[in-house]
Amino acid sequence: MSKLLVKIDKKDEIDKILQLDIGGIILSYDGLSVGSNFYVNMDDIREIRKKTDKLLVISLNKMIHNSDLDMLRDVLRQLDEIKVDMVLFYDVSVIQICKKMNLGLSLIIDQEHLNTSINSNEFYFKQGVYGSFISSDITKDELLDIRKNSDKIIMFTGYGYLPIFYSRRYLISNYFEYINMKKDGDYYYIRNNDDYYPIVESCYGTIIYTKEPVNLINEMDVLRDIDYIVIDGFLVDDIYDVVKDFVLKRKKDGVYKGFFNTKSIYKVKKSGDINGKN
Amino acid sequence: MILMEKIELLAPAGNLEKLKVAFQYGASACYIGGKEFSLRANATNFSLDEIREAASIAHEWGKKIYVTVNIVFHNEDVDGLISYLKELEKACVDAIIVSDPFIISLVKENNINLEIHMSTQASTLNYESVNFWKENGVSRVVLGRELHRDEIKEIIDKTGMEIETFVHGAMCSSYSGRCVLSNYFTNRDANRGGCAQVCRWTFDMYDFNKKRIESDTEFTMSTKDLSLIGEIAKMIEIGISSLKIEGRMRSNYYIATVVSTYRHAIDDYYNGTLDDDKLAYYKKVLNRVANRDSEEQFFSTFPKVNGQYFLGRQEVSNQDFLGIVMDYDKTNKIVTITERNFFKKGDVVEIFGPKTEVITFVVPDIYNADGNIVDAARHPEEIIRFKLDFEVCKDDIMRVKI
Repeated sequence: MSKLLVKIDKKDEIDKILQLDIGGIILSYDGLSVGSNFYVNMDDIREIRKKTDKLLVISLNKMIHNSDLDMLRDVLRQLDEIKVDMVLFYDVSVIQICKKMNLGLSLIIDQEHLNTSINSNEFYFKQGVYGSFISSDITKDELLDIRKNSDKIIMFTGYGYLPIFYSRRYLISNYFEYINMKKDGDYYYIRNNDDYYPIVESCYGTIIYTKEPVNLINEMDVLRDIDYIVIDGFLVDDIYDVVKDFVLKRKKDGVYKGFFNTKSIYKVKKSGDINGKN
Repeated sequence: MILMEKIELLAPAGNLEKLKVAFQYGASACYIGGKEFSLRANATNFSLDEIREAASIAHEWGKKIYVTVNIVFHNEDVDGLISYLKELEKACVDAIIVSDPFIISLVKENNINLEIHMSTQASTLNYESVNFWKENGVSRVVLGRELHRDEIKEIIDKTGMEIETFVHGAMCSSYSGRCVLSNYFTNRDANRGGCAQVCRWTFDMYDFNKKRIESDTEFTMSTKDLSLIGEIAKMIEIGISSLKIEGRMRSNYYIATVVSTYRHAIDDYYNGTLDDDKLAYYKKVLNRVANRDSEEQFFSTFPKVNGQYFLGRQEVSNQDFLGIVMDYDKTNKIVTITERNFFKKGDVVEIFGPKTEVITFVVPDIYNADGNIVDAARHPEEIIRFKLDFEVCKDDIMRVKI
């Protein structure tokens, strides 16, 4: 049966959420993570470690540049000492450093849009990676195929806004500078048809999210063999209620499921594409 | 005297014709996509027979050919991949460009003799990641486009890895691989080649109370193109191995002009003749052929508002390409041109080609295929003849004077 992991977005939610019947919490590390309103440092992690026996998972999902590497090495070393339960990571430098430093961390590859097949995950498992946070861009059937074909830890988003675009550029600031208006905060929406997509800027760039949170609360039986279902509190007013609903398996009408039941297409009849991929 | 090995100039080729153009105009290598397993799923792309032919042409001319196998695979996409890779091995392609790392294992496990380049889709941005790929048997990494030259230099110095970077062309606004706007806005899978370029769209922007930001200019993620012609010397000096031009779907004229311009700049550098005047001219040539503005983006500084477009796509159809030389009659000094865009007697134009340095002249009396004098060349594909005192070659290009 799946366990719930809750990505914490507000400090004052931690104690309350830890009281619920969940597997553990995910915390974003300050300076090495993006897409949160709450970042922790090593002292915070030590404090929280003392408070709970539930799983403590650290997210390091930032794009890593050379200048981040010293900090990354130090953080990985200390996380190993503290014995956090799992580390989510985007950049493969994390694997490289853990190998070189002989660290025993349980690494979970978390590449948002790149973990989409049995084979891709297998590559990382052969590198000693402990598990995979599978992309939400695939269908239920694809996910279950991956599950069936792997004995490693599999995670999947059960609830949360999904990042669907991440730029290094300060796109909101650039826009306001161009139109000569004052930017008021870092949170905006862009509108497409009748849908509003959150767009958020931070010192690490700009991220656009899905029009609403993906909510797979009605699919928990289908997802029962997935080891961890992640509930992400980012941009959600009261994540506590959401987690409670998941714990109690309260079904909901009219929820957004992303690509869970929808296949994406990639060969179309017409093209006019000149963009910048190789 | 020690001969320096020149930096590789890597050009895109959407089909065999473009491949030949790119090689003729000075590319050291071309990257092409097959019919399957390649981003740009909706481009013409190469059949296996065409890939074999492309490899054969490349090697005959002392050039290299790389094949993109760079989609992010779903379970269903794997069928036929091993036999496809074996065919690429048989075709003697010089490398494959991958973004999904399981192909590294697949190639090893099946004893397929193919060099592997890690695509920019993997957004490799630091030396530890480059070392990771190196230790896994990758022979070259195409770095992410978000790096400053100092970061690139540090990566090269600390890894000794063959490094490829983009030098010219359109840019993703996002980190490569971290954008699926196309999936969520149009259902077209960006990482499997279906990108609908949503980052070029414009949007109304709202604050977090959903109150519209009142402006005549809409929000966009769209970026200007990349052009690093002004940084060629630095790119060579920091040890980059290959300079990549973007654009497998670009026209022959674009490929010829961009490749030839970079070829000249690179050769000038190694000859010690690259100076500010030449660079200014090359920039002018590249600006004319592009249908969008360009910037140096991340290589020399952090791109700000000037790195973006805010007034729609601003792409104008380029009318500079006037025709292609079909024949030159040395005895009578008559050139035969197939027309591409309007020109007339009195226009100041240029002809250039792989073996023809740029020749500038004023268009004299022009004649149609029947030998009748005409006031202008108005019709694409129309055969036009006129007197030209300079010898030119078949397939040379005639353009507006730059």
